[in-house]
Amino acid sequence: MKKFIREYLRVIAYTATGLVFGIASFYLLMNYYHSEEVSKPLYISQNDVDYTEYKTKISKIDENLKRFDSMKSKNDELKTMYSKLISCRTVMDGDKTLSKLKVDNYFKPVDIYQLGSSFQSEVLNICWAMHLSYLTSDTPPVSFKEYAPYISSSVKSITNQINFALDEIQNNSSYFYTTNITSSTIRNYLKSDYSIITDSYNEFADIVLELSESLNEKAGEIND
Amino acid sequence: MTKILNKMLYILKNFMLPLLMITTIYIIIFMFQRLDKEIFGKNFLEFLSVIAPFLLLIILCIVNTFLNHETVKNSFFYNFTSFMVMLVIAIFCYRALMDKNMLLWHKYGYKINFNYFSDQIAPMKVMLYVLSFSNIMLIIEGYLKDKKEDFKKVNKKKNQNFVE
Repeated sequence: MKKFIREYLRVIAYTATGLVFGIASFYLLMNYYHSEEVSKPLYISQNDVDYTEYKTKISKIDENLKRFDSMKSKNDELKTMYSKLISCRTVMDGDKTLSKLKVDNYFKPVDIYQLGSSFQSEVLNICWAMHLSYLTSDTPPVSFKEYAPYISSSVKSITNQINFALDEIQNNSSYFYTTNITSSTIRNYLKSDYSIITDSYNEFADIVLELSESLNEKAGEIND
Repeated sequence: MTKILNKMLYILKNFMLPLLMITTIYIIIFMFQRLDKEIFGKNFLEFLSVIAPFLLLIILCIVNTFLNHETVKNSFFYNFTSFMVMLVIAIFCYRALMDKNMLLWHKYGYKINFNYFSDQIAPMKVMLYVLSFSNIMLIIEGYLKDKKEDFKKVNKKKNQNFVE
C-alpha cells in the first residue's frame, strides 16, 4: 500500500512538473518570437519623398526669413513674428525631429514612435504652444488676424492625428503575435501611422511656410 | 555528468529565486505607485498575492536544503523545470524593464512596461504554485520511502567503495 501511494505521488508530482515545463517552454518561445517581431524593421519606400518635401519647405522658410531680415522692417508686430518663426524653424530642424527620417528606408517601430513623440514634445509643445499659439488668442496681432481660424483648425487636426497614431503604435506591446494575420495587421498599422506622422510634420511646415511668406508680404506692403 | 548538471541547476534555481522576487517587488512597487495604490494599506492583499508564490517556494527550498530531501535534490526533471521557470520569469522582468521596442515602455515615464508585466503575472503565479505543489508531493514521497531500501542502497555503495 505504501509503495502504491509513493508511486502515485511521484506520478502526480511529475505530471505537475511536466505541466509547468510545458507552460514555461511556451512562454520562453513566445517571448523570443515576440521580441524578434517587435524589433523587426519595416521598409518604407516613401521616406525619401517625405524627407525631401520637408527639407524643401524648411529651406523655403529660411529664404523667406532671410528676405525679411534684409528688408529691416520697423513694425513691432512683424518683428515679434519674425523672432518667433526663427525659433520655430530651429526646433523644426532639430536633431530629435529629423534624425530618424534621415537614416534610411528601414524603420523599427520604436523609431516611428520616437518620430511621433518628438513631434509632440518639440514641434507642438515648443514651436506651437510656446511661440505661435498667440496667433489664435483672443487678441491676435492685427496683421495676421485672417490666419487665426485656418491655423487653429489645422493644428487641432494635426494634434488629433498624432495622438491617434501614437496610441495605435502602442498596440505592439502587450499582445503576442499569435498569428501571421495579427502580425501583418500591426505592421500595416505601423506603416499608416508612419505616414500620419510625416504628414503632420509636412502640414505643420506648411503653416510656418505660409506665415513666413505673409510676413514678407506685410513687410513689403508697409515699405511701399 | 547528469549529477553535476543537476547540482548546478539546483544551486542556480535557489540563487535566482530570491533575486527574481526582489525584482518583481521592485516592479510592483512602481506599478502600485502609478495607480495610486498603497502597498501597506488597502491593497496589501493584492501585493501579497503576487509575492506569496515566491515566498512559498523559498520556504520549500529552505526545507529541502536543511532537511536534505534527496527526492527533490536528485530529481533532474524537477530541477531542470524549476530552472526553466526562473529563466522565464527573468525574461519577463528583463523585458518589462529593458525592452524599449515594446512601445508602452515609453508611455508612462517610469521606464517600465507595466502592461506587459501585469499580463505575465498570472502565468508566473501558475508556474510557481504548481512547482510548489510538486515539490510538496516529492517531499511526501521521500518520507514514505522504505527505510530498508535506503539501508540496502547505502550498504551497496559501501561495498562498492570497499571493492574499489
